[in-house]
Amino acid sequence: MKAAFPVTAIALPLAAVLGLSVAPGPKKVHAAQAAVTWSHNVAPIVYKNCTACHHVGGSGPFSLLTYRDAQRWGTMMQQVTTSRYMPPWLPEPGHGDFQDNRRLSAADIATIKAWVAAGMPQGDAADAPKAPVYTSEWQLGPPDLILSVASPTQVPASGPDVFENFVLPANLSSTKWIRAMEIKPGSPQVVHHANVILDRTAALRRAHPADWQRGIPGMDITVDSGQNFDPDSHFLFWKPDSTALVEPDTMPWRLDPGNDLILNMHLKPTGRVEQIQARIGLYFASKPATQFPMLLQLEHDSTLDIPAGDAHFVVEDSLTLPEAVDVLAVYPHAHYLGRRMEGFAKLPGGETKWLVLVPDWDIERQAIYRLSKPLPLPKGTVLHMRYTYDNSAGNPRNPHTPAVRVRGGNNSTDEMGHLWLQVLPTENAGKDARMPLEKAWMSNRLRKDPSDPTALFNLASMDTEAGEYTEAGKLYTQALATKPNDPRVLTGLGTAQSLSGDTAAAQASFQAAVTADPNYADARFDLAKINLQRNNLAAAEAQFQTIVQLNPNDFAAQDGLGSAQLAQGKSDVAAATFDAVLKADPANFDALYNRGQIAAAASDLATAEADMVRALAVHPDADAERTLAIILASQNRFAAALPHMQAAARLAPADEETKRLLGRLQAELQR
Amino acid sequence: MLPLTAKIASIASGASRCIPWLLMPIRPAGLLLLLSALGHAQTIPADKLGAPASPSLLLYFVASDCPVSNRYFPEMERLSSRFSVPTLYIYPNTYETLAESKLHQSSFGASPADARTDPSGDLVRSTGARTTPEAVLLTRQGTAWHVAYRGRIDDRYIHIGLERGHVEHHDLEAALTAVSAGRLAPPPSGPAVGCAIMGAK
Repeated sequence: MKAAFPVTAIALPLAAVLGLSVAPGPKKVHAAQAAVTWSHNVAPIVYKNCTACHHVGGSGPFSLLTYRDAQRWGTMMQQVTTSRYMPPWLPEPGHGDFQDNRRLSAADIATIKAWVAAGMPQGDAADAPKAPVYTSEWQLGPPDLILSVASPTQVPASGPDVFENFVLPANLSSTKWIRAMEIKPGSPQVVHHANVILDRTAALRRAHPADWQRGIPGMDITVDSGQNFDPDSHFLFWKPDSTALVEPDTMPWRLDPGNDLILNMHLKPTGRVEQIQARIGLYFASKPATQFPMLLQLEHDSTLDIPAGDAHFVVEDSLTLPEAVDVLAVYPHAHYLGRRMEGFAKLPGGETKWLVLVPDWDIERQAIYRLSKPLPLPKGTVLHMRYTYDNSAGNPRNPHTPAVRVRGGNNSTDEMGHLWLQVLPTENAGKDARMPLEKAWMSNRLRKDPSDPTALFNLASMDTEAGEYTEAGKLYTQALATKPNDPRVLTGLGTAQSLSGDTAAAQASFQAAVTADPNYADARFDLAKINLQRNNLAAAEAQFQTIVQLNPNDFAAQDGLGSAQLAQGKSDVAAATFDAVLKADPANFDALYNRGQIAAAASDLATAEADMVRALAVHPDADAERTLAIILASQNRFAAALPHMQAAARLAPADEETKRLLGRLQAELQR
Repeated sequence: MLPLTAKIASIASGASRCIPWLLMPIRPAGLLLLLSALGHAQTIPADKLGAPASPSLLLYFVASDCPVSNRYFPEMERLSSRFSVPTLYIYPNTYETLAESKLHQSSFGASPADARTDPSGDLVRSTGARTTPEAVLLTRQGTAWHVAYRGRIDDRYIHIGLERGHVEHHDLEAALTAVSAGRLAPPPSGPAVGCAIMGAK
């Protein structure tokens, strides 16, 4: 197509525009040369900012790789760049400095506008930059592990957006550190955004035994974070222009055997029934993490109770940092009523630093914003969030007509107001530096809601970790007031009671947890262990047996089963149990040690010696060293026995029996 | 309700044949004569539509590469079905072929037989359609079709990038309701939002 308007009519303003954007130096500009063309002016902007999504097979609904493509969509390009709908970028400039900033410059927008006004001329095709090439292959080459959603899901042709959670069991046999991840959503035009959540305890799968393979509806989910202090650490987020998500060398994320990945997807009907089946490619790091960030949250969802028609409802939260951190990334999040989002930090000296400002929130274009460089915040800094909501008819995104009262919640018709920050503690407190942050966060939650069961539970767990069993017991008991039969809380309470020496109370708590959720293996394991400890051997055996039946790969339960059998004198049955464990897990210390003990008791010293040697290859252990020394000494191999008895004495210096045996062995050798 | 009629089998059977749409003189006496957005009344010879028995005809201007018009397929089908109005899907962009349009119809749950192209641009000119998706409701008077409504389907989109949580004005549905009751169709309450038509000049 030829230019439909006289070039000279727009030459002057364009020359000014070009001077801002692409024309360096004092080059003489003739009117004819100043015409904005696809080849010279527009293609570089489009290739840099648009085609990562807008290519055939990409997440954009159409391609912009060729002149003909751009000519087809030129008018729309002008509209959506002028309105700043495209490229999608919500943060206000000057309020946080972010990587991959997609905001177009005013000069680029003016260039597109001028090009459209000029009739979208192509210019000299030879002048155009080479179009980028996109591939549907994995961006970093073949992944080390590919996880797929179990079966395809159908997204209806029309209706409201769909929020679905897919469980992807990692099925690992050993811990891996993940340096990069790429999500292939299946049909990129259907998937609006996706979040990967690490489910350390397969909680979602356990909660939905019948339908987890189909996908579980829900906009936001909460999962159990497991036995140890292990806060979420990384934003594992996908949006249409995402490629592979590569973590810094020092910060890969951990994936353990038994962990699931939950793919939380926002799906948008396209007008026809679509099928999607997402895949996740994982790339393993060669070394574990040496730096451990964590995700901190500001929120005040309990105050989210927005009257119908209220166009200016404000929610605020603040959190004082108990130690210095670097802020690495921010993720503001609300649903459809969110309008303005402010996140900022007030430093102890009084200075205010912006974390992020979103003047016109749009859930459709939400994203993680990674800072261009870490933002250091000293101890005592107060983090603030201030979100404004519009529940009036004047908010076109309001899902309710007429407006209705809206409260906080996980459904898309509920509202939410979260400001997540990825922070890295910069002072090593000697132990896990994230613990004070977690404590400050949870205490802040408790300040806002004294009955918050999550805060009570997490604070109790931290007290347990710190050896404050009585305080932990109190907090768990408080949490039970809100969640009376919660198996996790009951198990936590039982653990605190057990560690404080009150095994009878612990047994009752574990029993209550098992009654509340018979499939909760952790509670049953603890109950079985307490029974073993209290010499209720038959009960212990039965409970371990139940766990093993539910999950034959639970080797700890298998070991417990063998131990319960052994303690009842059923050596043959116990040996068979340990044999089964070792067949599946040849380096299982407990099974090797116990089988070695059984062989030694049966005077099968060769087997006993071999098992103890193998057990000690797994990890050092005083009991195994002492047993091996005894096995060798009983064959009169005193010289061989000596270093093992010495090792046992080193590992357990207070053990009188070991000291006595070491003395006897040395006397034997002198003789 | 509009009278129940079978959907029109075809306007022009040839895939890329030019359809000789002609503008007829304005009929001053016509009760259903409406003004188009251009400010002058438009009529089209009824026999050219191949549906002489049908008192009304609904045209949807769509484009296979326009995400907005694609998202409207379920709603467009719902309205055609609810009012039992014969419907044609017009693919006005000159780069779209009839064969591709039929495939597109199938994948979006609409009848391939209802797909038409507009290689000469006559349909776009005679109806005044500018955007996909855009609806044109024609009513027949004697030997001519009259444009009874042209415009957006509803107000879901305020502009590209801003979508309502809830449709408030079902403009086309209101027009169909009015025409089926023998009343004038109310004009659309706002502009059609979607993708520009790249028709023949």
